[in-house]
Amino acid sequence: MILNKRIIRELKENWVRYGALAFLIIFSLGLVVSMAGSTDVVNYTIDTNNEKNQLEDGEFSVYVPLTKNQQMELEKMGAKTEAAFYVDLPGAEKSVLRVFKNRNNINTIALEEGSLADQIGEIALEKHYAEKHGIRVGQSIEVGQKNYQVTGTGTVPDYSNVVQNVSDVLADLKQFSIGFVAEAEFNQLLAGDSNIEYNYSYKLDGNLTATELKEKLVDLDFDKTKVANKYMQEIINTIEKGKNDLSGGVKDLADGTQKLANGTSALQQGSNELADGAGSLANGTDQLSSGLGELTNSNATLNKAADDVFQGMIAQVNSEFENIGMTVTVTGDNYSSVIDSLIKTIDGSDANTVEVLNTLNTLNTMKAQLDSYKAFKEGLRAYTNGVESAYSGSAELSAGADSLYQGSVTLANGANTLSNGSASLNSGMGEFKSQVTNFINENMDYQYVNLITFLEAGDNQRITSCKSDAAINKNSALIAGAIIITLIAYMISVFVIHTIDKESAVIGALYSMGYVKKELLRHFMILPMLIVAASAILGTGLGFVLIGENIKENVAYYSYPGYAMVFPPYLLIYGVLLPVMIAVLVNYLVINSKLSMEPLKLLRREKKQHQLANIDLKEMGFINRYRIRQLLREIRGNITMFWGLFIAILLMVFGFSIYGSVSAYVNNVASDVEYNYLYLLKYPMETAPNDATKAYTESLTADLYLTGGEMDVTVQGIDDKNPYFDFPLDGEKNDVIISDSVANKFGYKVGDEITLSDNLEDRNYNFRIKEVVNFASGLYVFMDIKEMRELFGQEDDYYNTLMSDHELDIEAGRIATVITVDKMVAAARQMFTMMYGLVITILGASVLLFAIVMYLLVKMMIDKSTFSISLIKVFGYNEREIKKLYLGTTFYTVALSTLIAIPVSKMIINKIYPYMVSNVSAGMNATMAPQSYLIMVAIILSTYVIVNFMIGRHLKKISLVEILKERE
Amino acid sequence: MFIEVNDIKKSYGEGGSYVQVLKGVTTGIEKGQICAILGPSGSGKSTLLNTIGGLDTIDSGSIKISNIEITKLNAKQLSLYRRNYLGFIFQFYNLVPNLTVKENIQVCEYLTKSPLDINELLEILGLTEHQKKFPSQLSGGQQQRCAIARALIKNPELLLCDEPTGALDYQASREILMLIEKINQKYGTTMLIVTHNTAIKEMVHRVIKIKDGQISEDYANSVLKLASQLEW
Ligand SMILES: Nc1ncnc2c1ncn2[C@@H]1O[C@H](COP(=O)(O)OP(=O)(O)O)[C@@H](O)[C@H]1O
Ligand SMILES: [Mg+2]
Repeated sequence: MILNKRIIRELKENWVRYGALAFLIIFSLGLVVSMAGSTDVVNYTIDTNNEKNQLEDGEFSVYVPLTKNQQMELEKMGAKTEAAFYVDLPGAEKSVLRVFKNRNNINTIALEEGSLADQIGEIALEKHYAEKHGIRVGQSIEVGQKNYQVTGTGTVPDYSNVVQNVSDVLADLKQFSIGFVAEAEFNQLLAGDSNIEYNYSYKLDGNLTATELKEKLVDLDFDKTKVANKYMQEIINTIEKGKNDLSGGVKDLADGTQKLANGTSALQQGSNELADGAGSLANGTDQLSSGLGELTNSNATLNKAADDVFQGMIAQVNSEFENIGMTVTVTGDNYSSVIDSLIKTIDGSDANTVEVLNTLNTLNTMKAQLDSYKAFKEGLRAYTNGVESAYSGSAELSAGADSLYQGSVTLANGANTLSNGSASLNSGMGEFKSQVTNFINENMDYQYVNLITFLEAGDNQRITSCKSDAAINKNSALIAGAIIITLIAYMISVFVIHTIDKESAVIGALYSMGYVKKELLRHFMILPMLIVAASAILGTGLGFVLIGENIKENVAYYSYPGYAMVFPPYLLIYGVLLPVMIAVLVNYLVINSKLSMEPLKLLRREKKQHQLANIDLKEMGFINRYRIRQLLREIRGNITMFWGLFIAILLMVFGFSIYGSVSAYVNNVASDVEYNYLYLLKYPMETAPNDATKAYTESLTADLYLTGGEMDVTVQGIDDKNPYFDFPLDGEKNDVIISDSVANKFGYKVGDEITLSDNLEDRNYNFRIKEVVNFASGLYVFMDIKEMRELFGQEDDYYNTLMSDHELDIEAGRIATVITVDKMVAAARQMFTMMYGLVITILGASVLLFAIVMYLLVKMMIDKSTFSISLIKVFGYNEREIKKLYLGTTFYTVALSTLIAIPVSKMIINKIYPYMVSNVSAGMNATMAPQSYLIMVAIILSTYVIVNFMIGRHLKKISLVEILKERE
Repeated sequence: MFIEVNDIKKSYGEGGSYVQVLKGVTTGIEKGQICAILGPSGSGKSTLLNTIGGLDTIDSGSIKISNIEITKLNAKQLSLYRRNYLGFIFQFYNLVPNLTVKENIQVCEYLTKSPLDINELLEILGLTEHQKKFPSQLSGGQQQRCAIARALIKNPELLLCDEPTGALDYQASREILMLIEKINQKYGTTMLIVTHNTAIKEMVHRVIKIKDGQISEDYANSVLKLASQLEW
């Protein structure tokens, strides 16, 4: 169609306008596509390498290494395991290097350079660590006071986020990383260092679920004597000692019984031979007395041991209850009635499932076991009482020679009873002994579970955070991109409408010659399509080119092999097709409605006058009246400008909010945390150092609505006298005080009932929130230490955390983690540095968008008013006055956009920001410092002034003869 | 009759702003004739022309062009009718500003399968040397000639002209009228010319005078003056 020739000319005439729009599209699509594309590249790289390097399905750690047989048993069930033991050793420049041995089947090492270590004295390092410390392959590094030759650098899939502890907020690749040595070397390390983590990686073959594996691991038998960790050994020894005492007591008991039997038979004999003489009696009583004395001596041990066993059984029953999710507590006195009532309740319920039957079974067995043991314990008590009275009887016996005769009658009776009792006691003794031994072996083993941690890959941030980190950026970028494209498409349509308006009589003429709407619509759609399509292709191309730049930060922070470019089809669709489709839709709607006007109206240049345009403005001064009329005449342009500025301001608020939130985080971490050192202990000392404050810390998980997943929270039991916290802890039993960080992250409020779960133990804990306090670092829930000990079934003086204002002298092997305020602040700072680039990009983009939108639309409105401007120039208005009249209008729109957009944007950002930082394990608010608002207003105003200056020059160019050219 | 207009009435507005513009107009025009519609400003001339051109609707009455009742056509059929039968010339030319003279003509060439020869037309209208110019580079008369060429290129049976010389000076107006005459003779185009230039009535076959929405005079000229001989 010949008409289309005008498109090129239109483009040429308005190249600034269309060029600027095309630039905006290219620019924003470039950003968005490179962001999304780098996410895809990261995901693709991670996924393919995870597959290639056999990423684990999960990992677990134990006290005692699994035996070959156990590993084989697990494999038969469907879980392949590979040991990934490690030791944390001091590395280069005060860093910590976690040393593993080379891997064979799971989480294998992807070498970037060099080769694996295969000799003693060799090591392969994680690549970023090597780079940050300037260590090249072939050079040497001192690890744990030993020199190693570096044979290679690389990565492993289970440490793509190289954090020391799974709950760490950020990685610091210079401070902590990992290395791999040959098996022989690792065995030497094992021999030397007792602080080894017995960690295993597993892969499931589909026949076994993670939960089943975990249950199996909990049940797995293990040899306590092989526990290598000396601190763990201490704990085991204490328990074992109790068991030995009990066995010893039983042995003493047996011996004593034997003696008793001997003594009683002698006594019997003696009493029978009473007449035979006092000499023989004296012998018998002596022997009896010493036998009874010996028995009495062991009475206390015996009773205490029996009591301990019984309490152990009760504790066992209680933990069974917890395991099946019941919240009852039984004691030695009430167990019978409690279990009975439980049985009644369960029996009375209609549910007759296997589960119920099982539960009933368990309960009955439990009760029978407790009953029989209690009976035994009571028998024992009766027996020891008997021994004691017999002993005192025997003393009396030897003392009262004068009452010999009278006594002989009593003695004969007593001796007979005694003889009977001791006979049956002696016969029951063998059975009792074996029963006690069985009990000790069966039940007291059950008290330690070998499993320490169990972590599925999906919950392991070392594995997941690289991908999820990227995913959030991607989604928000894609959404932002679509919004901006829609805005630009709409702006283009506004310009097309402007052209149509300008040429409305021509269009009317074409209609009257027989052109149909379809033909003209098609014609007017071509330009927007052309611009959008061309810039979308360019923008998408640019985006792919920029991926390398965009991905840099990710590549530098996470540890994975070199990436390969991918061109995901959806991104091509998003980058090219979507903008064109948006442009088609928007332009079709707008242009179609414009072209639907009757030809005659077009010919007469009749415009759809907005109702508002007829508003009564009599009260106002001339200038204001004129401005407002102009504003209303150009209502479409002004509304478009409003939205454009709105989006620009939204971006600006977003940028400042990220800045504000992260810098507030850095400041709060520094100011909220009062202690300087926090030690989390794996194996607390019996007595804590005097210069430290004790606390009790447990890690639980809470549901995170933001991701639909879970996130770890730290529950910390603290003393009322804890000098580092100043809130009172004397609440109800399950009352907790949460940090604002937790409140923020999980959306909790004072008074809420919350549930935290212990995934290892499959237990849920319910708490009520009493107060929210300022504590920015991490995700902390505080409670009274006494209540916490009770809740988690710990001793009255238990602790596992020490807080101090100075460094403590603690054996390294006891420590799980040391948190220092300096480290926390450094981590927060690092987050700040990482966000900085993003903030600058967003702010730059927003200013650009602001300026371009404003310039183009103001210029368009001036173009439309060329005739009137020329006219008032002819009337004698000077430039300043004309500027006032026409650019003043813009000021209203800019002011209105700013006034509305800032608070509304802030509200929008407040809502979506939590989702953007949902994987950061700290609650962050989209805060903006007051000065940020000022800076923003300053940016807006200066952009306004600059644009106005440019438009002003344009106004100057409108000549007086313009009025003569216009033919109407 | 090529054009049969029967008792058409047309009004605008409602209530207070109600105006009856055409108050029952009846007339007929033979094929190949030039007909001038004269009358004072606001009398309804343009309205009559527009209703015949299918650009405006009527309240009652009937308009038949070549035996087609155009008042019964829907918008799409009307476009088709205009496409097949009509050429329009306006007082203010309404050329596409960023197309050259030739391209402007080609815009309407596109609308028909059997267009006139464009170079011949350019020649006749004296536009050959201007064909590569844009409208803004032309004088009013040249622009109007271009508009005429654009209207004629598809060889319409009916040419509707609303004040074709209204914006032109004496000389240019005369040239346009001479062209109109020439085209009528060469192509046999039926023409309706709305004008307030009373001199025109001497060069046309039919004169219809409208006053206050009604035909006040309607006659045929037996002797025609040449456009070149007109004076006003
Ligand atoms: N769209 C319209 N709305 C209201 N009144 C109209 C409209 N078009 C024309 N008129 C009125 O109809 C009358 C005739 O107009 P028109 O046919 O253009 O007169 P002219 O004879 O000058 O061409 C005029 O009074 C004009 O005001
Ligand atoms: Mg008129």
